[in-house]
Amino acid sequence: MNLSHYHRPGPARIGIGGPVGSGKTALIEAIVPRLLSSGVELGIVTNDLVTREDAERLKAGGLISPDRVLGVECGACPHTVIREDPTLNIEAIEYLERTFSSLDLVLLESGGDNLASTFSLDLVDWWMFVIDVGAGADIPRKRGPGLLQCDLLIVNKIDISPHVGVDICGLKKEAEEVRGGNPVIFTNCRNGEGIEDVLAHIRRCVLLEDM
Amino acid sequence: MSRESQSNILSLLNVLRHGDSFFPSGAVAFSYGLESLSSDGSVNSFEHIEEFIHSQLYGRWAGLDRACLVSAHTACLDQVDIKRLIEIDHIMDAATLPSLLREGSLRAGAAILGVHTKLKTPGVTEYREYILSGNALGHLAVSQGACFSGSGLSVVETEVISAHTLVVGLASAAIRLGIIGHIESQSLISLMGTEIEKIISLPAPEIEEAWCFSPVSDIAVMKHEVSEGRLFSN
Ligand SMILES: Nc1nc2c(ncn2[C@@H]2O[C@H](COP(=O)(O)OP(=O)(O)OP(=O)(O)O)[C@@H](O)[C@H]2O)c(=O)[nH]1
Ligand SMILES: [Mg+2]
Repeated sequence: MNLSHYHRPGPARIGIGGPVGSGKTALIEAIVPRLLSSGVELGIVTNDLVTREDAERLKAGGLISPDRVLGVECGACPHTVIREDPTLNIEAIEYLERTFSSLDLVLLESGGDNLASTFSLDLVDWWMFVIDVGAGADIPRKRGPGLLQCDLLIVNKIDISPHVGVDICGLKKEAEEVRGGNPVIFTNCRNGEGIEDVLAHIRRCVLLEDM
Repeated sequence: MSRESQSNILSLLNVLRHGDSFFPSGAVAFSYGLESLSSDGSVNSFEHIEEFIHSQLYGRWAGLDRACLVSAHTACLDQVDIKRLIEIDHIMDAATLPSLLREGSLRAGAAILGVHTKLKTPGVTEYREYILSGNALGHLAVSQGACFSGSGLSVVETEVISAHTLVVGLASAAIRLGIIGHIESQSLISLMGTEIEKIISLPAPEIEEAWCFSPVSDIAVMKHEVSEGRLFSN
């Protein structure tokens, strides 16, 4: 497999950030089986905010071997551990790399945070920011650094737009405008809509498969 | 400006850099039992936090961390004495009862060694290789001794930074747990400065005489192990 090694040896690393409950874990649950079935060797690190729920949910879900999932506590500082002080996350990723020597890719889920959270490129190679339709149509307009600087913006839960009174066409137009030509994908992690598109980005931009 | 005062400024800046909570060390993830004591209601005021930090300084840092720190610093002065570092690590490990404290100390040690390896601090890479290959443990106090020695910090500077960052880490955890505010935390750090000075003015215990007695926080850390909701890793 042809992998992107931007500036370090070892597996590629993808960060997944975004507000609490936007669907970061659901996105991981949607992409993991598809990546595994195409032979990508995976590891996962989660930065749960208060509980170990995400790490436990992924371990128990049967999608991936539990020993390939690590939870890292962040002392109520989810942004610090992915940017100013990513040391514990780096150590966790390097532990996975040493333990599973044929790892291709590590997914790192940040603890739910605000729109200003961004990843250090010393920690990950490429990162996605997940927002959701339920948070309101004005989220893209708020132009947080998270949704502006990410490599791929995901607008999740498109299925609930009629129930929360969000005009999905208007939201799409605005999100694309704010991103200034950088990619945005609209997903429904429950039924898999948009997920193939996300995978295509990962394959092209991170796994460098069609190069 | 004279050459001498210039070099004083540089060494002062070096101390500030390594003692700054901006230095990436993973410290935000650790509460040393404070979260558990806060959630069961036994620590909920300025006075309680003061007592807690005081007991961490006197009951754990002064007798154990400090002994390990100073001997690790000495073991790295000319040439890195890996055998000695391995011994000190084992003493630290044996004297730390709660597994979350041992794990936390190893993770924090790995974090600081990882950063110093990338910064190419002299003497650190070899020790880290021993750890990665399973031939050394890499506890925080031992790693700090090695990293600070390699960074040109004196033994007293190393002790001050280690004690001060412990106090700041605990005060900051107390703020995040909602027990004290930003002004109280500064009074606390200042009060603890006097205690740090008292401790460091006495000779450090020899490593063979290292000791530790912190039953309340040890039990709190053990309870933390089985706690459902937690922000901190210990
Ligand atoms: N309707 C709908 N619900 C979704 C979708 N994606 C996720 N959810 C639900 O939204 C809730 C939150 O999803 P998570 O994946 O836990 O969100 P998260 O971003 O990981 O949350 P934190 O880790 O707590 O920040 C869960 O109940 C999911 O089932 C979606 O596309 N549509
Ligand atoms: Mg999650």
